[in-house]
Amino acid sequence: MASCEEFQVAIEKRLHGALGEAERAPLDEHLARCERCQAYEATARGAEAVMEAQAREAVAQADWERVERGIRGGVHASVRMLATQVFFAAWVAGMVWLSTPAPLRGERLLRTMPSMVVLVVLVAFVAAYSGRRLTALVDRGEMLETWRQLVLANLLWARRMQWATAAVVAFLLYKAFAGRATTFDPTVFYGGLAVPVAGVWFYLRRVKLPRVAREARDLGLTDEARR
Amino acid sequence: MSARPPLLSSAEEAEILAGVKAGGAARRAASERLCRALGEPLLALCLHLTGRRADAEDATQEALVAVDRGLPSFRGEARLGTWAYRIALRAALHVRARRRDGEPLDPEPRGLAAAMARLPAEPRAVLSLFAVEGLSHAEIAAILGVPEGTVWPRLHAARRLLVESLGKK
Repeated sequence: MASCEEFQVAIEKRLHGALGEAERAPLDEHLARCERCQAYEATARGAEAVMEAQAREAVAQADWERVERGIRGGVHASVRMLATQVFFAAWVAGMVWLSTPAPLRGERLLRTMPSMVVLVVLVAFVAAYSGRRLTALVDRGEMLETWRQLVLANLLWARRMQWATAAVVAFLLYKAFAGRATTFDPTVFYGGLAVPVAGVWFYLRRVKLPRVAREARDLGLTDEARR
Repeated sequence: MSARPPLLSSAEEAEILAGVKAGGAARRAASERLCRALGEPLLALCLHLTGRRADAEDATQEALVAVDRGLPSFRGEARLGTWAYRIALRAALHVRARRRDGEPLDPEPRGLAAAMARLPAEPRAVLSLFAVEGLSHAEIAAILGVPEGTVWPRLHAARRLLVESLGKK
């Protein structure tokens, strides 16, 4: 004889139009005498009805113009990313300019150009990869398990990067205040570089890490999120 | 409730993919057609997963942008709709994580919405997918990437968790 659990699975199948003809009579027979399964069916039907009503209401009230604006904005996200990179490259160039004596500025800017190009390409690569994170690996294996692994990797990466950026900020500040240089001003140059790196550290610490930890908790990685 | 027809038939999906391959105006038309067909069901799914209309709109937006960008590289290993739902599921979980702990749901947490919000991602995803009109259990299994036969026990387990969560205030 089937258990209540099996009949409750059958209730779900009937609710979603997947119950076979042969299973209907035994289910009705069981339901006629089992209060527990009757309550289960009532809750399942009630919950589905409420969820459908909520979805209908949300669809009717949705601000589709905002969604469409967002889609158009999303399509232009690469332009925004390019602008951010140009701003960052200009910031580094500004630091080189301000920290270097006037006669050496042109030559030093030319010398730092290749490293700035490398930096921009690197940031573009990271941005492109992160932009594709929603579609990347989306059709491989059990979806939530794959997502769980990605979130865990992201959490570990953010934790390491947090300490790495803090160490870089400390090093740049040390160089800014204790460093010696004859052809440029170390306080302006290293201090100027420390500002965006400190911004990255703040973003990781206050925005990225708490967000990834929340996502990890939601996916059942409670211990990993707490560590 | 009865068996539900798919949102996009195989023929419609093939037309959309042909439009994407053709490029130019056909690509734009295909993309708009896909967004029109999927917008409402994706919003419904995202609403159940995030518990807040504004978050659901953001997640739908992100999912549709990702779908639009990913269309040229779509390999056709799954149905187009299945692929889009998978992207939306991830987008909704991602957007939900942006909400700070303790931020209220919209409307104020009450009844079923609050009980759903207390569930972990997996049972919430199963219940949400079953609440979306137009998805069969086979499609839900394909979206979750699990064997078809395991979908019903998963739904049953999720429903029991929901009942427990409804009992908590």
